[in-house]
Amino acid sequence: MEVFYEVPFLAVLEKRKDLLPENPSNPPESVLKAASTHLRSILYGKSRPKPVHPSVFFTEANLVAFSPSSFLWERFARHYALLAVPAFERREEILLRHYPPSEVLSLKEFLSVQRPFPELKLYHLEVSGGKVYLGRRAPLFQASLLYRDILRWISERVRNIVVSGSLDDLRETAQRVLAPPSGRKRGYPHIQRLLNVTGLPDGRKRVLFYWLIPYWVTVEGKTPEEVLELANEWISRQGGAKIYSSWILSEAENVRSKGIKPWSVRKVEQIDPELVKLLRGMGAL
Amino acid sequence: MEGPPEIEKREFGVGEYGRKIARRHLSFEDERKLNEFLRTEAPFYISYSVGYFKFPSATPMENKVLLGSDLVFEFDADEVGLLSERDVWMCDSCGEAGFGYRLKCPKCGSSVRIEIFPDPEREEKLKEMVDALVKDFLLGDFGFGREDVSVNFSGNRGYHIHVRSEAVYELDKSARIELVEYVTGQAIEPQYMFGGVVPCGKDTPFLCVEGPSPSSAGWPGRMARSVLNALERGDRDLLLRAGLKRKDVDALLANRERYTGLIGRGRWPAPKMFPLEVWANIARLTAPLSGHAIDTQTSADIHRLIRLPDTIHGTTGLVARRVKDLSSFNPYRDAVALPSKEVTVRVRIAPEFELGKRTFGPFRDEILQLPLYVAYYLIGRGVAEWSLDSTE
Repeated sequence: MEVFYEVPFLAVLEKRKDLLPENPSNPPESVLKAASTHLRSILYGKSRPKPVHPSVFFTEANLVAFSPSSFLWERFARHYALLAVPAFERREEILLRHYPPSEVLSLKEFLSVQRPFPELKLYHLEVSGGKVYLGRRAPLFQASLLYRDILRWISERVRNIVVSGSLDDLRETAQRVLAPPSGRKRGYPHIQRLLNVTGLPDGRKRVLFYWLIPYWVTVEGKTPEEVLELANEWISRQGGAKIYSSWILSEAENVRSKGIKPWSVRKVEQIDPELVKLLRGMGAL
Repeated sequence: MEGPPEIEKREFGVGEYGRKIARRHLSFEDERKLNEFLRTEAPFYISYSVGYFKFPSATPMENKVLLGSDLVFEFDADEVGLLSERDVWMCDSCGEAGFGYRLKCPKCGSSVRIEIFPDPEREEKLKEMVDALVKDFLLGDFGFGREDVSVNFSGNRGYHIHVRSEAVYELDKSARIELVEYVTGQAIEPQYMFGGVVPCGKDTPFLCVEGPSPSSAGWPGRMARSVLNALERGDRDLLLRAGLKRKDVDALLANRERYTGLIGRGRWPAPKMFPLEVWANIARLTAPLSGHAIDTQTSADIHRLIRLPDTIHGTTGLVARRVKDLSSFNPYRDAVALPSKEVTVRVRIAPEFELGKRTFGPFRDEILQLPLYVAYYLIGRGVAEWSLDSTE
């Protein structure tokens, strides 16, 4: 799953405003298609427009939500979210609960739900007669409420991860934790060669440290015990070496807790050129 | 006397001379029991909790089980920064005393205590502030009903404003602090009040920032009104204090009509010309309840004990009256309770002041015959003492 802090297809929709029906809950296929195309280009492509409002965008059959600047776009977004994300079990609850149709809250209601967004103070808003008019700050406020639920949602599903902070943090955390490692798609050809190498005279511990343990743990999802078994087997193929089991176990645990990926060859070459030269000489890289 | 609403859920505390709360965790089933207690014990001070408890007399505090709390705003004349030439400073180290406001004793350099005395001008200003809080914020912005808000003279230096409404009943400490911050307006952050860049008008190439207009509600509107007011009056001093450079003030005032027209329509000059912070500063400087006008601690404290209305304040001998009509209320006339029988006191220092429709002072090191209510007031303030010599 990927997370974006973005208003992905708003720009396209703004341009095609004339196509938008009066009733945004029933947009024509052409508009949806245009939005989806642009959305896809953002998700899988290169360009990402600068954020206009703090928004959260979940894809891969999960949650789509953003905070457009006007009510019309919000309604459209909500509809699109409901259309596009049938698999997300809590979408209705989250979207509809935290996107109240009205932009007016009672003073009490505002004070009771304000906590997830402490930046938004009462005196930034228009307050009159016991009502808090969210006005142009509404999308920001509502997005923050949504954000709180998303944080909780991620925290519940990902062990050992404390998710907190701003939307930027959310994006970073989610990208780091939830997005599949990019190496998985590309594969690690040099690691495959390293796994098959035999009789390595020197640098066995360093190879384990830079590449193999991160690969087994982060990419293949092995447990520290399985890693120990694989490592011992790999070491025996190199003619044996004095590497403590406790070191392998602790390193595997460290990699698991930090989500460390295998190092790139270029990076290792910068700090350990001798090792890379040796491995290249053996045809292992 | 009348007790507070839901008296059975309130905690009471009583004090003795020189100690406002000597005993607390008291509770009364009804007004009759409270009045019986007052008749038999006649405490110097009596206070009740702003909070409602399931078991008000239980100890420690967490066993009381807090159900909710009134919202209270406290104004104290000295704390709101309203100083007067009639105030008296006294040095407890060397005994020196004088009129006006001082931080240190000019003779020995020790810290001095300030005793405030009735000053009609200050009283008017204080009432204006209370009025602004009640009308502009509590009834206006927050939308409480008149029946939810009550104003009491504290019996000493200021006023207590109580809000009893379901809307505030369960508010936690941070929400109460937020309400105080709102009314004092000191934490305005202008970036939240402005929107995007828009054309200044129909046929103009210039760009403005979309912002509040004078008709906007709450602080955004208040800010727009105070800026317009400053421009219309040509208040150069205020604009400079708000952080504008001299040449910018000249430019602003030279084009005053254009700018007031724009701001009147919610179009503000681009931040490159005039930083948004300047507008916020003008609002801060002209806020009706600026600075530390309201004691945040009192409002945030949901366990606080506060003076029971219609009881005598032990320091002044004045009654903590419920105020029905603020404009006509004069605490130093309407809150006098003690008899006017004359007693002899030795007065160290006192300015000219009015109490109970009569004017007294100034006094300095004199033995005088004064009405009991005046004598008590001076003794409570620590500027006089009973004189044993009754022939004087």
